[in-house]
Amino acid sequence: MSGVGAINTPDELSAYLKDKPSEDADGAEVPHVSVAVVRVNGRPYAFSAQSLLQVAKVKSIAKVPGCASVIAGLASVGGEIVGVVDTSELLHARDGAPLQSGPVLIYGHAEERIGLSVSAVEEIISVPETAFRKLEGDQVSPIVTSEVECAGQYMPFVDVGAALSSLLGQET
Amino acid sequence: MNSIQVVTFSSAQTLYGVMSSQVAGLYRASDEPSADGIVDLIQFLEGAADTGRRAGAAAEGGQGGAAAGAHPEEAFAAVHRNGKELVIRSHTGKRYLVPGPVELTELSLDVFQLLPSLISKRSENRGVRAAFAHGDLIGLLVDLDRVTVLS
Repeated sequence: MSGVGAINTPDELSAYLKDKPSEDADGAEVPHVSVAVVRVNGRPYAFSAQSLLQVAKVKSIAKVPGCASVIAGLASVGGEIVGVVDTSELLHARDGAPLQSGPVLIYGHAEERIGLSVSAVEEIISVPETAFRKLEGDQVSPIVTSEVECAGQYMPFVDVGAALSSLLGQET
Repeated sequence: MNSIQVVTFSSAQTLYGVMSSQVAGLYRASDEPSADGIVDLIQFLEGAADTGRRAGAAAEGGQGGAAAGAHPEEAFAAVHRNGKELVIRSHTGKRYLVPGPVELTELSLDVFQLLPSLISKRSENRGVRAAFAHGDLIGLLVDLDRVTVLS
């Protein structure tokens, strides 16, 4: 067990096994991708989580008049005021009024912290690249080009970096 | 100088602030003899839809009000009767109608922050320059000079 600290309890063993990279049949390591499994208006999505900084629970999101509908507004997170994206609008999954409080995924992007409002955050996990499959036809959008199997079901994989670059008018 | 004074007021959906250094006078709209040249600040910032909501809310409260989409001078006359509206006069002499009540608040510079680029790049509103934390709320700092230029 080189490189692994002492494992003395079932919890430590579980933690080790959960984080342990899986290997394919030839014994080669399969690259993993970190994703946040979330729900937006009841629908499951896997968000890329490489630049995810934290999950915050915000009491309120202040609307900013004159903004595009994809902007939920401003929220105070750890003493900093961050812009928050209305994720249901971003994903064209709006069902009713926009979320004005609740969990917000805070990403680091272009030296700024940006929030994405979601209905619920279920888990943040590492999944093997083999769990992804490409979408085709009208299922494909600039920010959703594949789906990923998490907890036994396939769900759209949202490229958050591409989405935020697009919102900020940056080249990807 | 570690703090600045801000005149705060709220629309139905948002807290706003104006630096007191931009304010030369503040008085009840009912004391204003003429609507000529007055800028309805909330209408400017939020658009006609919110003016309709405010007027509608006033009507529900039995304090007068104007129909949504009313001519600006008719809307002014309605809120004028409401008695809760105030007029801010800037140092340039421009007058701005704002909803009461207003508060004069001293805020630490630490609570102010430039608008995140996510907001500034996705907003058509050039009257708002910064945001500030005020208790549990987040307010938007309005630059009256920018409103004057654009109105």
